[in-house]
Amino acid sequence: MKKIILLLLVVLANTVHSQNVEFVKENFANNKDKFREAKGRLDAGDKLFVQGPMFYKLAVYHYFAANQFNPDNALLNFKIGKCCLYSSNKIRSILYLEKALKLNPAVDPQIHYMLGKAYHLDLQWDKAIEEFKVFQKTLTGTDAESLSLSNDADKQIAECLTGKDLEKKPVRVFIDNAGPEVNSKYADYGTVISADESVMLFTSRRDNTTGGGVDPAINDYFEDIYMSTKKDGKWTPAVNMGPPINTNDHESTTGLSADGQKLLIYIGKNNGDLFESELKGAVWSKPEKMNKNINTDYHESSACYSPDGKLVYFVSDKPGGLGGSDIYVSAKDEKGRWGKAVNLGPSINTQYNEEGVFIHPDGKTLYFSSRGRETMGGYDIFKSVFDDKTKTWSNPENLGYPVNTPDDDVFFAISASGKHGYYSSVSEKGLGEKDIYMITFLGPEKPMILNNEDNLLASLTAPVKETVIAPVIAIKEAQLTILKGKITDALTQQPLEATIEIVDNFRNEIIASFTSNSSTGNYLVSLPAGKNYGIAVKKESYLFHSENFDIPMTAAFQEVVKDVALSNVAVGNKIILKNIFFDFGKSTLRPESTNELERLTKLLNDIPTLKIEISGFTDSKSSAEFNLKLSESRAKSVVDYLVKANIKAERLTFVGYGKEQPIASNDTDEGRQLNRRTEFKILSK
Amino acid sequence: MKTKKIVLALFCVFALNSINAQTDTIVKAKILDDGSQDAEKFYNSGIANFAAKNFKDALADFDKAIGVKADFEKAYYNRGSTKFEMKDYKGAVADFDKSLSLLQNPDSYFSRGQAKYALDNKTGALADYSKTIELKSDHAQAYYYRGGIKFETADYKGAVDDFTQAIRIKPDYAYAFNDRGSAKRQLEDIDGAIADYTSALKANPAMGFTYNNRASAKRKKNDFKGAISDYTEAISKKENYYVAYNNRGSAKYDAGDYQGALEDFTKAIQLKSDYAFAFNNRATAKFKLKDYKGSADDCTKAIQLNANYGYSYLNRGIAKEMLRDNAGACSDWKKAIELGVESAKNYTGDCN
Repeated sequence: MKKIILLLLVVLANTVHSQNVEFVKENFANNKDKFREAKGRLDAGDKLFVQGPMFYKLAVYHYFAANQFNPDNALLNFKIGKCCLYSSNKIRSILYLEKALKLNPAVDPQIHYMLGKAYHLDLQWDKAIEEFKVFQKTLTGTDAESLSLSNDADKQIAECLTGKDLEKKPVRVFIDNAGPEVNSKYADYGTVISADESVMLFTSRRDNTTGGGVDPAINDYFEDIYMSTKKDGKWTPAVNMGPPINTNDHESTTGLSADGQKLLIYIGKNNGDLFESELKGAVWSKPEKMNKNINTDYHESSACYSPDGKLVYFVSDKPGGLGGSDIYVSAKDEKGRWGKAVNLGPSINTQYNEEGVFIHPDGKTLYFSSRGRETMGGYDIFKSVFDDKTKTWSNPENLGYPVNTPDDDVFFAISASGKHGYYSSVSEKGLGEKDIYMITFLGPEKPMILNNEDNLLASLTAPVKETVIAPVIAIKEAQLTILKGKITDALTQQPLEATIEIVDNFRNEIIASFTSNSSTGNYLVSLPAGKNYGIAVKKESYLFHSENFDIPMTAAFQEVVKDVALSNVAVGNKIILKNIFFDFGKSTLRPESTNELERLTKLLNDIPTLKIEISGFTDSKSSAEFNLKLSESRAKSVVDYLVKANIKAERLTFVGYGKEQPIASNDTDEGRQLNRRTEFKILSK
Repeated sequence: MKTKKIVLALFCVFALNSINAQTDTIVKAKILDDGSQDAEKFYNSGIANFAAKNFKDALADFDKAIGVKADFEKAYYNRGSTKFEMKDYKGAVADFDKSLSLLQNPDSYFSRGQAKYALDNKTGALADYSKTIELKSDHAQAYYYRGGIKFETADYKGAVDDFTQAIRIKPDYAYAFNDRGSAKRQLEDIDGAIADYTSALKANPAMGFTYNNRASAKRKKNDFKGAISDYTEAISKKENYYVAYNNRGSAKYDAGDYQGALEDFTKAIQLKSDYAFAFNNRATAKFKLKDYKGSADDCTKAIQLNANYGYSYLNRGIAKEMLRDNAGACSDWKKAIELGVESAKNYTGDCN
């Protein structure tokens, strides 16, 4: 009998525990003071709560205090759940929403939707789907709002199914917090990086924001742009870029040129516009608003430069697109003005929002976030590759879990090597709010090899080893070459601001033109695989320097460091013309030499008093006589070209040195290639 | 004294059936024993010693027999067999040579083939087996062993033909069925292999290694369940069969049972503590179970056992990558390439 009573008491206690307890003084007659205090906190929370999601972070602070006093109020639990769900503690919402539902299933018509959303974010796919379905059943109306809510639940269910699928085949990555030098206890996000990962710029809402102000609309510090550089493989402490980049208002990063010399900035004024700033020496120029082909009265948010700097991809929600915000591209005209924007079309854009556009330094792989494709929740990051032959974008591919998550995944930057990606995310292990993380892509699983043997031949006691052929792995590497280095004066060794021209030798076309930084002399260019590149480094009153890079389509990613010392135009100075090519064993100039020859012609026209000697050299193969003759006739071909280009013959001499004066060993292919060359020397000026 | 000798000779007659030496010689010895056949007496004594595995004494007996009778063909043959047992293969070949110079006996060719094979002279052995077949077309063993050499020199088609001949002559030739199955397996005729292994087991169900071989063929067909079952049978038939434990582990690995695989590899290691394959394979199971440190350690053990174990270097590199030891991973992959593991080249792209 005693046992039965005890059991009844336990049951009773449980029932009492799970009953909704309203915040009325009658329920707390024995504890009036504390009730008053808790009610005060509840009211304070409510005042903030009604102001919208921006204030949830503050509201929940009061709600927690009230909840500590009365943990069994359904509505309070619901509100805490909602605050958590729509601020940074999203997963924590599950605890409160579940309790609210238990205390009062009718606490709010949105409860099942929110719980579904919370489960969804916590990768609890099946439970999420169940909640969304329950929510749909509560939508009995046939009005537009009910229909829209039901459609939204359908989309969430589809996202859960995609997520469930993607989670089963995760992408192999390491995800590392960028560290306390970069991240802070405030929100850090919007990372952009230079192609070689030597410079990182990002947006943060810190208390040292320029002007120190808080935006009342969002109840948070104004955004500023911060910079960190990599030294000895480590990020240096991030510094506020200060004026003129940062002002009292919001500034956020959106794009950085491959060489880290040009910055694209988003400024919230006029509904959101895009600005450009350039690094001149050590100083960033005042951000300049991009023209009306880019900026409209609508919201232009993110943007990025193509690696040659000739295109800008950007996001706008202006009318005429496919729906929501779309990705557009604009090309620079000859006068350096951004041309009319073109929508990238349905291969990329959807009826939902696209955001966070980033083009890889290979110039053809576009990374962007979309809400409209097969996402596992909110925005997911996709990539699509442009086919230069068919002029089409490939079907966008979801980057997969855990790069993508059920939450919004936007603003993703990837290194030129394709090995590292940067993005921001909220994690309990982070330094606070959003932090910047580096993803290291490990590529497809590297299969380990097992070894076995069998007693194949009965007559032999020794087992026979099984032949194992290790499988071939698809190599997914970025196919481009990053060429970088420092340009200096050969004599003073001081950094020089010089022009770097990239020429497609086969098309005789200048693909891109860059400038080295005047205070560091640093330059960086991205050379996608599949071309023969002529590189010319030029500066007035200096002899130009030429380099040749033949990068076949199959070449893997490489980073080449090439420091260039430019020589003055002085008697005796000479340069190797690396982009002059002849037919094999002949002195016929190949058409891909044109650009270099034109450059030489220009130099002679610019300095009409200049007299030069063109000299030809061969490797040590073939006979001395043949080599001497060939080198001389090749030098003469160059002189003949210059004479045809109206350079007076008396300014030009030619000489063939054959295999003499080698600059490299004749024992290797590489050495012989270097020895086969054309040079010019200044005889007088 | 005379009587004793006769008794010994008679004993030899009965004792000889189970050894390699030729039985017909004994019949002669018996018939020709007229008390003056000293050579034959030494010869018979040699046979008795051979049967009793007293090879040294047997050798001395055959020496004496030949000393008395320089053209004693059978004595040369038996001395060759004795030297073979004593692992003096060169001496054996010389005696078989002598025997053959006196008489073109197919068995002499066959035995010389065996001695040449032992001397790793596969071409010579193959020629001798062929000669045996030429002289005695129903010599099943000659076909069988010739098939074995063809197998070993990767002439699997030729091997299948010879094993088929051996089976034709001796339809319950379990070994030949097993080996033909293996040759078919090398020719990627997995179904044919399985059928032959099954026939071999029908002829002799005690052959644990054939269960193992059939299991491996099934594994090749991705019939992991069938493979595991056959490996289990192999283990039950052959005590301490570490090869089958290692293989069953691999089949479990293929089937995604990494814990089961780990246990089998561990068992193989317990049975053979220097079994590099099992250490290497256990590393793969540990990797799948996310025990990257354990995986790298097992590879290290495998490499300690076999310094040229390229695949284990490859695997250790993969484990080290997950341990964030990129330099170590690169160094291992480069070593694997050095040791001929081409696939490691896929991984060294990021290495300095």
